Amino acid sequence: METPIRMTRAGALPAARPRPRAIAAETSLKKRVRPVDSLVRVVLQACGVLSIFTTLGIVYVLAEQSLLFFASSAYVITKAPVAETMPNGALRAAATAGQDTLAVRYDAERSPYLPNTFIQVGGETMRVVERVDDRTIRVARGVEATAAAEHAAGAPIVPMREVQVRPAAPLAAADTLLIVPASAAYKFEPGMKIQVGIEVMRITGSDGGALTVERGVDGTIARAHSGEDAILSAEHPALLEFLTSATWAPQIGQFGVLPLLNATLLTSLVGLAVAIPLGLGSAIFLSEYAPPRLRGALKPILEILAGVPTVVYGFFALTFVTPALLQGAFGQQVQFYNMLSAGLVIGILITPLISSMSEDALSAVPRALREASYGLGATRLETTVKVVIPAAMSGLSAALIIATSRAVGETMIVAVAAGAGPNFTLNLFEGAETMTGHISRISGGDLSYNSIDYNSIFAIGLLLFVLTLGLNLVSGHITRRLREAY
Amino acid sequence: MSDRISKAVFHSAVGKRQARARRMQGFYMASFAVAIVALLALLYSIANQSFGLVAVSYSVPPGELAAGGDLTALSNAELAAALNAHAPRRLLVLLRDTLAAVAPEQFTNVTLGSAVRGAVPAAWRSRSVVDLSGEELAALLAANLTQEQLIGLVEQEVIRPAARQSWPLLESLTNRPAIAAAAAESHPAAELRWRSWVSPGFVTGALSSDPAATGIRPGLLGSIWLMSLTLLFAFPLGVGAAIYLEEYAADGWLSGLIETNIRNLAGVPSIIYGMLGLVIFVRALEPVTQGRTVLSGALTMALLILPLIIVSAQEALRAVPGAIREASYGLGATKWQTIQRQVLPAAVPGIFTGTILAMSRAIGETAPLIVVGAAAYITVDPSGPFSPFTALPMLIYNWTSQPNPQFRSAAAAGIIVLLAALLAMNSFAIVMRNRAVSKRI
Repeated sequence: METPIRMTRAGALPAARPRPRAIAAETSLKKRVRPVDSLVRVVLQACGVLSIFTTLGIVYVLAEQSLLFFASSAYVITKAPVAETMPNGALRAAATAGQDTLAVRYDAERSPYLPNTFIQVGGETMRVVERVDDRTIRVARGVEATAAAEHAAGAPIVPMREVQVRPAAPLAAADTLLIVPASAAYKFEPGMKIQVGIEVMRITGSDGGALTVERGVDGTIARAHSGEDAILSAEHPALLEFLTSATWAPQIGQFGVLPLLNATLLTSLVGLAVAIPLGLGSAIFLSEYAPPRLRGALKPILEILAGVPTVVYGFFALTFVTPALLQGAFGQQVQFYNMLSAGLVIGILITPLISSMSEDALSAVPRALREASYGLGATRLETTVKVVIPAAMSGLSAALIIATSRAVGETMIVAVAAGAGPNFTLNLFEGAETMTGHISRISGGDLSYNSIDYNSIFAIGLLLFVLTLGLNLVSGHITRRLREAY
Repeated sequence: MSDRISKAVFHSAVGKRQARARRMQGFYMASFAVAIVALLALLYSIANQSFGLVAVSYSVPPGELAAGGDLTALSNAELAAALNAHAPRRLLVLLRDTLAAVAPEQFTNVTLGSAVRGAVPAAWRSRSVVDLSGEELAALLAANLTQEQLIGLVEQEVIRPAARQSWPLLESLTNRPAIAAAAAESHPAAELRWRSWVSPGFVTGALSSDPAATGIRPGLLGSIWLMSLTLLFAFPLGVGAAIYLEEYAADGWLSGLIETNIRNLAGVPSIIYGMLGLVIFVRALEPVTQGRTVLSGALTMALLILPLIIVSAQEALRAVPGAIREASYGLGATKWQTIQRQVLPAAVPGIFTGTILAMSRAIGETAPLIVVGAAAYITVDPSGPFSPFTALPMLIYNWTSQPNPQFRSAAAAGIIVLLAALLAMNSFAIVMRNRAVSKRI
């Protein structure tokens, strides 16, 4: 029912009429509690926050398992060097106590002093580090609990061989005295844990070759030993050793990640060396030179390359690139599993990534810059190289770093084509296992869950995660900092 | 101007600059051409290994059983007699595998009448299976199986073809006489046959340790199970997170953190996701997921593609014009009503396309599956979320790494199946995208 509208001053609204209560409730403009809306909002917020849990999960899992790895021990066979009976050479010149490089002569045709073997001069044991030349060796002085001393010229050198340390006498289950050969007694100190057979013992006292031991620690049961089993001593992987040692040999307790890291970096470098010219060149071609119709036809080809699964690339590396390298370019010096073919195929893999990101960066440079350059008389090449690329540098650097991160994290190509054993070498024709290849090999195998080999993959994974995360963060930072505001 | 260059110098300089520009243009085109050549080489290497000549040797050549090796000319009785003559010890097992009406353990305990499906002579009904002679077993087989089934059994048990050596496609096409000579020399009893390693038998067959007989069915089924469960977990979570980030989250530190976090997660190597899945889903949540099962694998893959789905869904939601939202608010709708009825329907094609692209990335990922524990050899097909599983890329990886070169041909055939699946998914996405674009106009 309408009442006529009363006209008041221009622009003023007529006064509000009071409405019946029922209608008022329905059309009230007060905020109503809507439970569905609130529930939906909470659910969606949970979804959003879940991604943080993923990152936290990754960091927590990797860190916790890596700690387990560094805290655990690998029991490796204790070996002590024992001198042979006859000397096989002598010092050519006198050596002082601190001298690392010794001049030697020997009876054999070739130097019998190989790296990582032991020699004895006088009462001192030395470990050969390096064969400098035919008549000189570099040694570590005074190892295996002997003292470095002066030696005269002509002092005989006695070769040593490493023997496994065994208990000198059988051991009953209740004995607390373990006799070891006196020559190896220095290897065992109080507080150390050793393992004989499957029993772990802790050494509480040492008196020459007589060790007082606590039997059956770490959940193992004391049992009788015949004296045939070698004594295993515990090796702890240490963080510093992990990061700097160049030997990865779990069976002797050596956990140095450098061979794996080296292979990862080499294959990624080869990949980048292939992908940067190819990707950048394709991007320049597509964005600057190709007519739009051709670009529309050619871009999908690059997208196809980007969509191929990496295991297919691995197959390609093994069945096409490696034989092509073996028969074609380089001949017999190329091994069947080698880093070069893996690196080349990684390059093909990341070329579309660099190409598409570079093309985005190049297209984002405003036309005004290009037109100004043409106006000054530059050719298209000069415009591209001297104006457009520097202007797009932030995007190009970001593309480069993202591509590096992808190449470092690549698993299947290297697992199939690059080889299955850690190998610290700069020779691209040799096979070497990368960090990711190692993780996939160990986790695909039959090792038990808490063995030290198994936990080592988490330490490697943490390193890998830190590396790729660092690269991604740097790339994001560069994009934000260096982006030119147009 | 104080420094004026002569016309001649200017023109020669321009000429040099233009020449350099043409050379570099050639280089840029060449780099693109190299990418195309790499793609072609990839396809060639796959095709080269999937077809070719194979030297096949037989335990009993088909020519001995039937004239000209044509087994279809033989009657059922003759085929069954051949089985009895060459593989008499296998007859009981074959009868059990093809015609048993009871569980395998009970087969020898019950009388013939109840043990065997099909026609059994009345006189034999009360005898036990183990009492039958070879001829009687052969007669039962002949009476109850089709000729096709009998031919299959004869091939499997009597003829037993074994591929001794295989050659790639290019060599088979161009160098046939040399191959024939080499085959005659090293495998004199074998005959040369043309073989396509991709075949319906390959797609539907079970795994085998003989590369010429292996199929890819467990991997195909495993991949289908994995993809279904992955979609089930990842899609709602990803779209929900994208809606939250786009519509609900204020531009505070939390949403900025989440967005940076998602961008970083998209760049984490897939093997790290595998390790995360190993510790959390396979080991810590073992009571729920039963260890190395399809469920653990699917949850791991869901985490892997979640950032991809979130990013593409965000893009799709961002592409919906603000005017639609404002109009909806103007009509009095609440936020959720706006999203549910206006924004989401408009963004669905983009979300859909992004999800399919994320799935096509997931179907090819091998590294997380290796770490989580996909089997390399499995005898039963995956039958549910809690069964051990294998996947297409896992099988391809395993076969590529085998020393026997014939497994590379099996791997190439598997790659063809995988690429076909990928092509189907991507074409579907492209068709969807084109339809969405045309609808919007």
